[in-house]
Amino acid sequence: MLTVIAFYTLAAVAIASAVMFVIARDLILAALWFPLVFYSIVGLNVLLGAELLGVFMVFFSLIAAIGLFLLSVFALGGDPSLFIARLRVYDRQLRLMGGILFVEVVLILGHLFSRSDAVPVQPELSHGVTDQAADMSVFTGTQLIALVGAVLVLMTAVIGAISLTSRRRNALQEPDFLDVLYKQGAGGARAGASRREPRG
Amino acid sequence: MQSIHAVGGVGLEAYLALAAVLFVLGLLGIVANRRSAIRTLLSLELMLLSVNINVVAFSAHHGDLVGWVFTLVIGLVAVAECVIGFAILVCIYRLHGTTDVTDVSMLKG
Repeated sequence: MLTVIAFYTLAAVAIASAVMFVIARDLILAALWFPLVFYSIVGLNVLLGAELLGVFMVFFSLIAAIGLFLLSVFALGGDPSLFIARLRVYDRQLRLMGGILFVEVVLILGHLFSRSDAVPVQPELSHGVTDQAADMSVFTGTQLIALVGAVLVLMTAVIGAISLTSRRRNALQEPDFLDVLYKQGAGGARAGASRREPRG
Repeated sequence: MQSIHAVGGVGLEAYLALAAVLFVLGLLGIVANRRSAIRTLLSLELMLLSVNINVVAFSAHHGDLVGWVFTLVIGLVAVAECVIGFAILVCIYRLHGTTDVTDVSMLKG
């Protein structure tokens, strides 16, 4: 029963947050609604018995949040208090989101604690595959190749992103000084020629 | 028609319906806010998350682990896509002073 309540609560929160994310005019507010959708979906994964997946998703989202926080702080001149002061504008919404997140966590914990003495949550997984075996096989089976490949893609992307963002402005923004001089000279010569033409 | 077993106490169709609704909302997010690149990226993430729900639900339904691994791979690739996307956005912001994608018309013929 608790699982059903948790599912409908998480689903309602996910849909409502997604709607708020789409209709919010303020971009920062829209971005603040997005984690609520994300964590609701993590909760749904836990309800489906994929706790390991939920842990991974929370781990990645925390890393992403820390990265975005640092990026925002550096963009504001390296002062965290500036960033926090700007977030204070959304104090009411943040409190609402925190409350919803708390309810979700309580529901998921209730589901996790109540399922040990109840009927198996995943009757299908009981065909010889237990949760523990499932968790271990991800790290030992042939699926490891796919995971390593994805991690390599992620590492390449991170290195590419760092090199992209740390690059100085390119030639479009800062043209070569000699090139500018050449163009000015050519322009000047052309201007001079056009000035001279009427005389000739 | 084959009967749908309950997944985690809830029918599989409920998970599929939820994933469909989230996918449509993500699509709406892209279509309705075409100007903002950040919102487009996050809407893409929303669509990928809805696909993840489908994959995990089917994985639990069939008792197959491949779905979980597939979801992990999708998640990692989504993170990589987001990282690259935001790096490109930072470059665009440095060049143009805005993240409005309609202002970026350097590649227009």
